[in-house]
Amino acid sequence: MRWLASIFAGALACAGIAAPLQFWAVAGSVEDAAMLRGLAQDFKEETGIEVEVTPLAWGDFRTKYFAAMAAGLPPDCGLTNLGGPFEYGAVGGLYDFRTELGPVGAALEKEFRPELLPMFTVEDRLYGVPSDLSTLAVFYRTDIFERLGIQPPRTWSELNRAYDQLEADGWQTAFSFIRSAQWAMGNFTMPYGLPSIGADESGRAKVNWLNPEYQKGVHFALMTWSARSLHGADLQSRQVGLFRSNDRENASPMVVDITYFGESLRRQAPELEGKWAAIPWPRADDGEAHNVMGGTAYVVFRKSKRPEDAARWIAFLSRRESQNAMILDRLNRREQSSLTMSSVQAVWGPQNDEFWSRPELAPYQQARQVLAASYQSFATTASTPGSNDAGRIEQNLIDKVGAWIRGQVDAEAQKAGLSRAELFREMGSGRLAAVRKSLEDRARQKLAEEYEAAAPAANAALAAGQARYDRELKGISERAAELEGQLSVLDFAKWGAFALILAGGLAVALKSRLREHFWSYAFVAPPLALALIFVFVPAAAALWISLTAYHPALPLASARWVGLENFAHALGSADFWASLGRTVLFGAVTVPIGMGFSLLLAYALSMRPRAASVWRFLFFAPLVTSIVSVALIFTQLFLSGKQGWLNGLLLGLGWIREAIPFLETDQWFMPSVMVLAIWHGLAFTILIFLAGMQQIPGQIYEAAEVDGAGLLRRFRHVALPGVRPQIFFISIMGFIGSMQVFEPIYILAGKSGNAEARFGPNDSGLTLAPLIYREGFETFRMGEAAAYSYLLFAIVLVLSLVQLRWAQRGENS
Amino acid sequence: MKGTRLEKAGLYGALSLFGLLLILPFYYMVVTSLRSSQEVARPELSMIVEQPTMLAYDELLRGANVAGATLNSALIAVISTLGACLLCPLAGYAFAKHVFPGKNALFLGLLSTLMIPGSVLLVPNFLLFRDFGWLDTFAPLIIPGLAGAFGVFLSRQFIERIPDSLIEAAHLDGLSEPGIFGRIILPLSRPLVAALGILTFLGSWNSFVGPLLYLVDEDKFTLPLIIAMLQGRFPGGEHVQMAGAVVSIAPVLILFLFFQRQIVASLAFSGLKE
Repeated sequence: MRWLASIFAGALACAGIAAPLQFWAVAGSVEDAAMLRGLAQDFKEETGIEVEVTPLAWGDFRTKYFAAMAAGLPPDCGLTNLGGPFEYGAVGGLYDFRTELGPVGAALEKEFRPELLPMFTVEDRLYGVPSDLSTLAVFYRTDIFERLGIQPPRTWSELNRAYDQLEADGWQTAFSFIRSAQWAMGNFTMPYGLPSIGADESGRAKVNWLNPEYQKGVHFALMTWSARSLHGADLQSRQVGLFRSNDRENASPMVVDITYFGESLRRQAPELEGKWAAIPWPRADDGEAHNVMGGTAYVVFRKSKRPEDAARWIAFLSRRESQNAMILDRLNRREQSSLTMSSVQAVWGPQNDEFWSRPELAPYQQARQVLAASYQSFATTASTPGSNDAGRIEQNLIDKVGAWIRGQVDAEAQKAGLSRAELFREMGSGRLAAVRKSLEDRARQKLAEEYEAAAPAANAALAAGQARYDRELKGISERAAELEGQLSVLDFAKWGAFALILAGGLAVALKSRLREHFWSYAFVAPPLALALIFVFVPAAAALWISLTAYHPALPLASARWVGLENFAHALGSADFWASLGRTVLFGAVTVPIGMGFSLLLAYALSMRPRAASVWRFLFFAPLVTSIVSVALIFTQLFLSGKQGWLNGLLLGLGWIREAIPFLETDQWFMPSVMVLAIWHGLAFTILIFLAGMQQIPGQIYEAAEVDGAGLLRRFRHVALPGVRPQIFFISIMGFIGSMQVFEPIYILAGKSGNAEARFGPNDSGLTLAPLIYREGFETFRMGEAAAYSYLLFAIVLVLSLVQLRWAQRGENS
Repeated sequence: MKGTRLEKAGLYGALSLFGLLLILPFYYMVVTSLRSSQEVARPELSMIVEQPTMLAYDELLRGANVAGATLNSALIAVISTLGACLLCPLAGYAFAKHVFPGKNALFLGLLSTLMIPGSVLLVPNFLLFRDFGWLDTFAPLIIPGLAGAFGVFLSRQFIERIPDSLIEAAHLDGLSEPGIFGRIILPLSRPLVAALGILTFLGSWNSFVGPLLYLVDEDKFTLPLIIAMLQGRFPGGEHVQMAGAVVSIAPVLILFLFFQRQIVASLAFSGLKE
């Protein structure tokens, strides 16, 4: 009914009555949307401008914004992630606050610390302003700290000392939200003034990775995240549990987490009230205090017809009064309450003391001080084209070295005959100093080697990104209008297809030889027309797109012919070959294992066990369940602490000594996907084999039985040969299917919950279909995506032909 | 079944072991969905719920448009299913029983679409639907699949087995071609229509990538999309996520309980290419 409403709204607009201003908000919760709607009401009373608030969930919102932009349907303004202003601004999708949004838009800049803004600025254009920020704080149990005489750490060496003291006493530490997150690495490198990407003398973007100071920060981060943090990136609620527990096996008396973690604590562990405290992220010993932020930003889309109204709405939201109202609203949400960090300077200044001294805010004075202190050290650095690619390379490196360090620690523990926790207890007590030093040195060296190897590719990606930007996107907002109406190959293909259908129809109508078969043609027309328009036209269009460079936020006429460049790039790229290898491995593992299990189970079912219908229900139920829901269940079963049932089971059986980080390390991610895929695919293959086995004449079984063949021998000599056609069918179909595996990887990688997530740690789940998705819909290189998809097509075609040949041979014999 | 005691033990042992492995995730889902947020946050492993509560479902319904998404999914699935159940047998009938110029070429052309993997079409279809103004509507999720090649292929295989004599007799009775299809072919193709219906419905109901790419407005989201979104909307709310999984899985599982025989037969039918 929404479209009816929008038609209605369109009609109203034509009649001179303004439609509401469309505002999309990437919001953490429904309550946030409700809060924004309340503010919109106030805004309407003040200005007469109506605002319609549409919430978007974290995770998929980038696809949604992008799809809306590509479709020419973006809202007037929106709340997006911090990267949004650059991402959408660079393709000409946004207005510049400084020059294009009137005096209100231009004045808005002054509300924020200037150090916050570089990230939103492209060539002096300000494409967005910050909304909420989030940063890190150290949460610690005051009772345990006091008992052990530990000082709350204010510097990194104090932080290290706190680890040691806690570990010597048998406790563990946890880094939750930021563990292994590349953006969080800035907390460790920016105190030295070193962002991941800097510039050389000529101003060209270059990575700072080879700088020893930079590596020092990363090394410190990795040694704490990967070697120490024993519980990994479990979901937030588990982290509260770890913090509240008094059992040394399970507990972390010190947690480094996002600032509003404190509110979860207050809500879920009321018994800890008064027993914990929070302090800002410690400063580097020889560097400054520094905080890197996550958060959200406001943007105004270029499609908007009322940009100045949108700017007024954003200015309204950024007022101190509105910000205070938001802070109160978020604190008053029992289950969901949180203390978020406003990006507006005035909220943290003396002019707002009156607000903070309200009695209901008394319990939050400590948290306020942490936030106010952190706000002063916030800064961002400018985004550069290609920084996403370079960032991905570094993130993969961090995943890889992190897993490597973890492995080294486990090996050392095993050598000493200790568990990982015991090893750290020993090291914390000052024993095993040589082991510790050797571990640190090896990690340092490994890190240096990996950065050395990765830096050239990252610099090349930065250069390529810049070149592509200069060639395709520079000044695009001025050029977009003229490209809008131009014809593209898609138009020709589309009209060609319609002409073909029309010609077919005319031929049948006019030629008497064909007209006598009118009904036959009428009956077969729908599938043929659909196949022509939705398979052949797109397939042809994809071939053309694969020969061009094209960004989907621009009109198709902007696609630039590049010949076979995309294919050359694809065949030369490490990503493609690695993806192909992973895909083949995935098929080579899941298809035979799945087939083995299902043959056995189909055989068991064909033996007509008692309560056959119950067994069937059990085995066939996964057939009808959606892979998305099942993957969501498995994501939780694979949790990495012993809280995850799979780890709990394995630990309980004594098969493993340490919980396995199934979804967090590259060596375990794909095996986890395979387990899920086999589990979900089992039902269909059992079904096919069972149907095949039931067609085997009963006499053959009986004859075998008379000969004295037991169950197993009858399986080998009767059932197995009887389903040979099905075995071939399943192996080919299964392999073709596994060439295209997507959903289980997408969900297990947590992509629908986290917009920054890749397809698994160290891209370990990046198979062919995810690669196509990433190129096309995440990095927006449609030409390369089309080239990859044609390579996939070629592989599937070969497999299909093999199957077809075989099927024909079977028919002839 | 017959067999030695040892064989029986092995058989039932294997069935039980795998049965347990298959049921365990569902059990986890239900148990977790009944927990409170406090219970979910406990650090230790627990296989039972101490104080079952429906709070997670309450939170789910308030936080995500589950009811609307269910309706959307149902609407899309029903229209797709009706279309497939009518258009596929229609074309299958013509390909099986009619003789007309170009028949084999057209059929092979149609079948060749089966070899083009869906991921090849992601990029161009997105551009095509944008060009049609179909983004953020249900059209891309319904129209392209209304008469798929696989459904036509299945239909042809099935209808070929209907005796020609019946059709000839109908011709002699003066029935028109649509009449023959409606009165003779369709009534004799019940198992085929059931199979097409079940396959199309399940495919549409569970599809994810299409809705992910083509839908923007949350009011138009389908159920799998809403369920996947729960990861982002309820971070740390494992109980709410599992409540979502229950809501999406339970209806089809109940349908499966009642129509197990037909569903299994249909799916087996789809896998058995002659």
